[in-house]
Amino acid sequence: HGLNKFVGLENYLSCCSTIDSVLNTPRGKNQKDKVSLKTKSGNILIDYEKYMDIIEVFKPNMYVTLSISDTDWDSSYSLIEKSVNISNRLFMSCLERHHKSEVLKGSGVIAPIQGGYNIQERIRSATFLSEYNDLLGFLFDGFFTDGTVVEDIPGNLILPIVNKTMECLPKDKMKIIFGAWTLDTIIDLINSGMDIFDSSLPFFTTERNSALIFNYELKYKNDIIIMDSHCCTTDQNNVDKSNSFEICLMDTCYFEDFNPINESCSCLACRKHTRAYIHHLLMSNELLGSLLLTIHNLHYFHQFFKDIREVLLKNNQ
Amino acid sequence: MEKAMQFDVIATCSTTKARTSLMKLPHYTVETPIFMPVGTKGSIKSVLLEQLEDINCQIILGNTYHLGLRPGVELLKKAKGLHNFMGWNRALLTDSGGFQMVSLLHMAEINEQGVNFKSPYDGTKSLLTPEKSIQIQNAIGADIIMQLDDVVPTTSKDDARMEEATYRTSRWLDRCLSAHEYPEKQNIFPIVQGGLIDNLRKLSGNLHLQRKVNGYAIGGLSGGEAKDDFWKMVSLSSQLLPCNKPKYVMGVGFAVDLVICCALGADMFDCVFPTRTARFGCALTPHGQINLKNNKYKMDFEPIEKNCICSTCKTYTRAYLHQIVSTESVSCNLLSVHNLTYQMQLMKSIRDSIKENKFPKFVQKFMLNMYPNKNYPKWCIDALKTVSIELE
Ligand SMILES: [Zn+2]
Ligand SMILES: [Zn+2]
Repeated sequence: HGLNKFVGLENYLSCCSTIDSVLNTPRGKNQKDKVSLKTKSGNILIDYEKYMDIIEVFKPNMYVTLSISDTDWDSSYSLIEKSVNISNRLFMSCLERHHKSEVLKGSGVIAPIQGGYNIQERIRSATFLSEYNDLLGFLFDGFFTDGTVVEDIPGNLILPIVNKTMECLPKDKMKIIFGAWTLDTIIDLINSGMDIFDSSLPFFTTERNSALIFNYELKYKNDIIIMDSHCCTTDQNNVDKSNSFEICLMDTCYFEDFNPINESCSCLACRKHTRAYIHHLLMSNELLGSLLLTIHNLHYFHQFFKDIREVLLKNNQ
Repeated sequence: MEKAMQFDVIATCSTTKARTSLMKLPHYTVETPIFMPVGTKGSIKSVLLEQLEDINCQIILGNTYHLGLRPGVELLKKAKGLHNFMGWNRALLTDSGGFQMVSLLHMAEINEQGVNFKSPYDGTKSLLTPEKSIQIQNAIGADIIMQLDDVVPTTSKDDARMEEATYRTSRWLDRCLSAHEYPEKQNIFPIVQGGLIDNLRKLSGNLHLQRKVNGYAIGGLSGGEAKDDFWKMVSLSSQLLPCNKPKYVMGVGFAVDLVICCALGADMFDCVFPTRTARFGCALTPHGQINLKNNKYKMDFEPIEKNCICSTCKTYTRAYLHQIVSTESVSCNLLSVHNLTYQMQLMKSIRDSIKENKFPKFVQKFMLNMYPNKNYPKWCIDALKTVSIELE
């Protein structure tokens, strides 16, 4: 009955893609129009037919067409050019198959824009893909192969590229980006027109036994959102990023801190439990510790987006 | 002065020794027979308190040895007890810490003073006395606390040592009772010892009967002894103890053992088994245990158990669980929820059948489900025969 039912998320929307944006996924060698994917059971080579067979079984609400997206800051021009060429070809094949498919009538197609950090290639990719009207949206792909380093990619490295690419895309289509971009970068990307992000950031926060606690104020000025985040240091040279938006609950200073993670947070972990208890669970290697952190971090991240939407709605009426 | 416990037997089986009761404790009124999940370090591994409440867990167990080391007595005092610290407002029970030391630390030495042990962290020598154990348990603040007992491995052949331990356990009980600071809020249970020796069991029980306590534990079992010895000792200890007080058989958690111990008159049980086996990918069913790692579940789109009421069975298939078991830590939560639901529902069925005076029928049906070929273990047949249940 499709992926949603299988994973117990029937009342939610699903989006399928080939990368896990919290992992380092060095790829094997791609072969002519076959894409190498890293799976739990090693690297596999997959062509568009096989990929679409899987998508037909999954029946996701939306999916990204198969592509070569293993480009990052260090990628050579020829590698980037190749990824655009092959991805475009794969896109056409997938789309053709999509139109023939009965079961995918209810699924939306997301086109993956490639081009690494090369603006010309990005424009070439976006221009090509935006000629198709029958798409649900676009994915800004190919910015990293190692999901664990995304937080360290400076926003000003991708923002000019994203902005230039946006100019080539139709306004009325969804724009998606994956990866654990910092909260400041997320705000910038939203201002650039990005619509959808994933939960990589709260995932990594939990992985380092930390909780998101930044206080923020969102303002709307000159058609953009401005975030004022306090309680956190604004020092740009501060290399300890764990201090700016989050607290690490492994720190012994929480040993007898009987406050919730965040006073104003309404998540289950904050309503029921203290920092001291979560500190104890983390120190004792109890799974419940990371479970409670996951609940808090996802809740906090959700609330952050809710607040952003509210500001946008209020100022666009 | 308030009472730390009120124990009311609601119904008694007219055939066997099984009974169902309400045990009113300071934090919660527990229905017995009851299974108590083990939350060693102040959490039931991977399960949220909300989930435990949904499953109808009424009392959970904490380990004094672990909690005394971390977070430690001082913090627990500041937090005003474990209930408050972990956010659990139903009943709690703590063990004495002695068993953990003897079983975890092979270097533990026992003398009249208490249990000498080396810290597993820094190797420093410490002494756990009966007074110290109660002090920690007072700080934890559980509704039911255990006396420190002199633990000898069940399978020990040293009868003289066993006899010494039986008498010493009784002497330590007196030291625990006089060290106890909150008798109006916490119940100390003595532990009936005596290994597998009838006379020592009787002696231990009789020594305890002379003390003023609200309930009793039957200890020194579930330690690798033959099932034949196990049920006989449970039966003997249970018969020694008064009917108007709860009887807690320590370390019992297999479904068959639970049903038989209930038939022999026991009321409370604890075991790490349901949550530990969940971590290894195993799910409990009325027909026994299944391992979801097994490849035969790869394409099995049924829930673990069709009639199970748990959230895992309502949402997920065996095929899904097979995919995530042992790779995603959420599988531990999903399987623990199912396994604990299974235990709680089993105990509820036992209680309901006693209330309707249909317990013997329930036992026969339960055993047939577990052993569809009727190849019942001999110890089950023997044990049930003593309480007038025949397995056909
Ligand atoms: Zn929270
Ligand atoms: Zn279930």
